[in-house]
Amino acid sequence: MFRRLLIANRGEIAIRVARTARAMGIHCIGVYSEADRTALHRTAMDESVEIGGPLPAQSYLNASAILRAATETRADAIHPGYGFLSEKADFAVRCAEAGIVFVGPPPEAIAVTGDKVSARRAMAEAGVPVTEGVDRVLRSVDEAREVAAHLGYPVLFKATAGGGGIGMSRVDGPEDLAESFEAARSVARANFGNPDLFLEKYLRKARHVEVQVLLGDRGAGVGFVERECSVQRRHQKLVEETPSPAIGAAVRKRLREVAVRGLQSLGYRNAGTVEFLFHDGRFTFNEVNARLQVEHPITEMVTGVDLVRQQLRVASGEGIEVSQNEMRWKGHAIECRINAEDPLRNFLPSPGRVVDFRVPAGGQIRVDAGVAAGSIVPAFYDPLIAKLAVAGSSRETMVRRMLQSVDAFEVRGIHTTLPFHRVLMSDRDFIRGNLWTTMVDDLHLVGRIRSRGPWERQIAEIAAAVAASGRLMSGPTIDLLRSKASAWSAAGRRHLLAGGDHAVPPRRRW
Amino acid sequence: MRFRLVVDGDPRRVEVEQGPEGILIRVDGAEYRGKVRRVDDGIAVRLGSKWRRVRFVGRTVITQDATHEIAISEIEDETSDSALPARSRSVRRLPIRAPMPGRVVRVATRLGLEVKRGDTLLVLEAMKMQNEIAAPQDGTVTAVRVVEGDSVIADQIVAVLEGHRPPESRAGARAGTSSS
Repeated sequence: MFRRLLIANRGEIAIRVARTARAMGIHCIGVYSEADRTALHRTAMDESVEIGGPLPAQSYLNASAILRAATETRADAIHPGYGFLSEKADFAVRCAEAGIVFVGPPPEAIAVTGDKVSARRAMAEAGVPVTEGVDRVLRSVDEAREVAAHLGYPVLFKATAGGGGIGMSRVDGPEDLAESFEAARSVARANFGNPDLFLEKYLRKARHVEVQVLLGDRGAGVGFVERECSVQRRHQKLVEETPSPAIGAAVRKRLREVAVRGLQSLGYRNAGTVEFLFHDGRFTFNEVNARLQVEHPITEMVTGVDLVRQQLRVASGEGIEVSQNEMRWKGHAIECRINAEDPLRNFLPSPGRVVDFRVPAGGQIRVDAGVAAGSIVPAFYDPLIAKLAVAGSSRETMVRRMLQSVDAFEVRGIHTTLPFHRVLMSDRDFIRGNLWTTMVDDLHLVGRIRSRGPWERQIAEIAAAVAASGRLMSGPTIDLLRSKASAWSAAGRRHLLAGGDHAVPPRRRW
Repeated sequence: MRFRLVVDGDPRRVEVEQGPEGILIRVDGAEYRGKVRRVDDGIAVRLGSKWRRVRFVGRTVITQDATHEIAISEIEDETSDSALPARSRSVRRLPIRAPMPGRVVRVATRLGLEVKRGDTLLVLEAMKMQNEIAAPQDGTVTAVRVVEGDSVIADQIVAVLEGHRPPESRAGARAGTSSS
């Protein structure tokens, strides 16, 4: 096993990877940008190295700076987490050249899966059913028009180099095609440095299901029970669960076999996920995510397998600890993504300082957080600040437990997606397991959010009182006399006024 | 009235309109309606079904079950804005504010430009997402206070528009295309 692991990421995933690695006795080296000097993930490491400026390109995406840090700290392996350098084939190559193990698939496999058209082709060759579409780059509007007419509208433009839901554009009829083609190309060029597009048939009311796969040294490996991630906005996942409420034992087995076979045919190794669209009882290949995914905890919770541990074992040549025959899963797990975004303002980013952070606790509740009270959420990076997951006997009880857990989760100082999750967990379709990828928009779930919770209600009360008291006439308060001690004494006073340690918390109803 | 209210370190943009029917409070855009009245030692506020008492002691607010530290800044009175001297009554000076902290990735307007409602003035990026800041009404751009690459904080004035009609809505951000 490795002795020294550099974790080339930040936030919750860096902390999550370090947790397993340190439990395995591995010395963890963190990296951080100028904007992350006080970031929580630094405290989860044995040591950490500053690698550059606040922009991702200067730090977390800066392969040279990360390799330099790894060499200087004598790391023998690099875990890339998700995002950033996790799916950059040339980074994996450079790691190998520097004599450092990249904890992930081989560069050739990353290259094939990173190009959506080549991934589709490879999967089709391996006998995986693929979503109807074209397996070539569209060179012109006319070519796109011809293909779209053949597929039948609506169609979906996708960037061949795309990812993270970016670069997709739905077209409902031929009149919108030319405009969408140009718009999607410019988005793809701006984001991925590559404007190439292809087309797929757009499936209405489809579900998003995916299979976590783990392949060992010689390509033997396991597929896990599927996850469903249909609750999305802007093609980005908000809630994931496992198993899918729509899939029965027969389809589950087929899905798993197809996913494992598909990745094996690519010469894939280590952890990866094969995503499918599930529509009319049929599943078709969508894309491969050649990395550990955000939503991996729910799979861990229902199977008891630590995926990071398995990743590290595969990368160090020790092999997977579980076989397909021994693989068992039990119950149901749900995960909500807590993003620094304001669902009341169309998920507007909400970076800033977290002034209070209280997480739910209890059996079968897992919180992977990247921030704590006092943390700054910089505007430079992904909005995901924490993942809240629950697991237990049945879906029905887990939806209820999630609702309770969301109510007990409090973040002050920035806006989060928690109010959205509260609405979702009370939605009739969601409770019944009737999910589809555009349900957030179709059901106007955001429009049902009435408030951001009791804390903001209290702020509104105070604001009303401030205005009514004539307090505003005397002008702004001046913050000259604020000392460190005042925050403590205020906290102490609040604590005492709330009844001290033995207080019964007021019941929440909203 | 618009002001910035910080409660226990949590900064919020507040708008309060008091009418005969009651009080309307917007906290970062979320609306609350209620009633207020003066009581002996403070203010009673009703947002839901219950009246709750709020008292002020210096910078400390005492509500029924907790105390909070508050700070107030950037108080703006909407009525005083339109009564600015040396300006014709039909002209309205409208500051365009950043809806969120972020980085200016594109300035799509320039000084003196006539813009139509909905025209993109600039593009802000935060958390891998680009947000277009659009003109809230027709008008002339009388100031552009940022350049590409600038970092801005929430509510920072990024441009000023001089309009000829009352604004139909506040400067809003449209969630646009994302970027990585």
